[in-house]
Amino acid sequence: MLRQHVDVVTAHPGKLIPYIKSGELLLLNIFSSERFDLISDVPTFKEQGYDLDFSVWKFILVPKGVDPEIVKILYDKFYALMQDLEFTEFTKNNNLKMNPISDEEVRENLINQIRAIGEIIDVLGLTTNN
Amino acid sequence: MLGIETNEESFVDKIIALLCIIKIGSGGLMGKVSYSLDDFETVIGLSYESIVLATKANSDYKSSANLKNAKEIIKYGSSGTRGLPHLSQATFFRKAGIEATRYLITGGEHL
Repeated sequence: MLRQHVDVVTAHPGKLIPYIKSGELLLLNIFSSERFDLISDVPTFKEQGYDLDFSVWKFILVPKGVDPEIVKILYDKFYALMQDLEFTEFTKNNNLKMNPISDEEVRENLINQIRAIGEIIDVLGLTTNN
Repeated sequence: MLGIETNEESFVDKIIALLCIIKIGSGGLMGKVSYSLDDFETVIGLSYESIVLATKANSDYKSSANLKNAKEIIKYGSSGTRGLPHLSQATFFRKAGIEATRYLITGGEHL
């Protein structure tokens, strides 16, 4: 985009913020359902009347069949980690929102995401050859 | 930073061997991978991150409303149709009724 080949791009804010500060780029709208602290002046597409919700989710999975006791240990350790001041500062400074939801909520969210993205792929007519 | 504390070395090895952080994305939905959610146990959510639509500071398009009223076909950057950068933009342009064409950006560098 900086070479004038395109009018717009979508990217993670962390990647764009240096160019915003230097005055080269402008953020139009955020695809998430809510605003983010580091770019709180950027409205969401939902606020503009578009039913859009695209975000990059990160979560922990293990292979099927792992001992539930180990899964519980992992949950507890990662949950504790997310209370750590260093980690919370890291997420804040990198425009991430912590999301320590339970295993059932992760699964439900993934099922919904897979369904929603699948519908979008169908609507857009995308295939592996695109 | 993402460490597992324990006094049992063998247990640590087991944990590290089993632990995987994966992304189930559109690639899976398009048949690019051979696994599904059923192959995994969910543990915990970590974080989520926004993505934003950006333009040049000196662009005529200062808002999504400006894009909707564009007199020319909008060119948008995308390094592949399977990623959220492409899906999000293509979906927005479709919903807004904006005529737009994809400009292939290689190497994953959007800027």
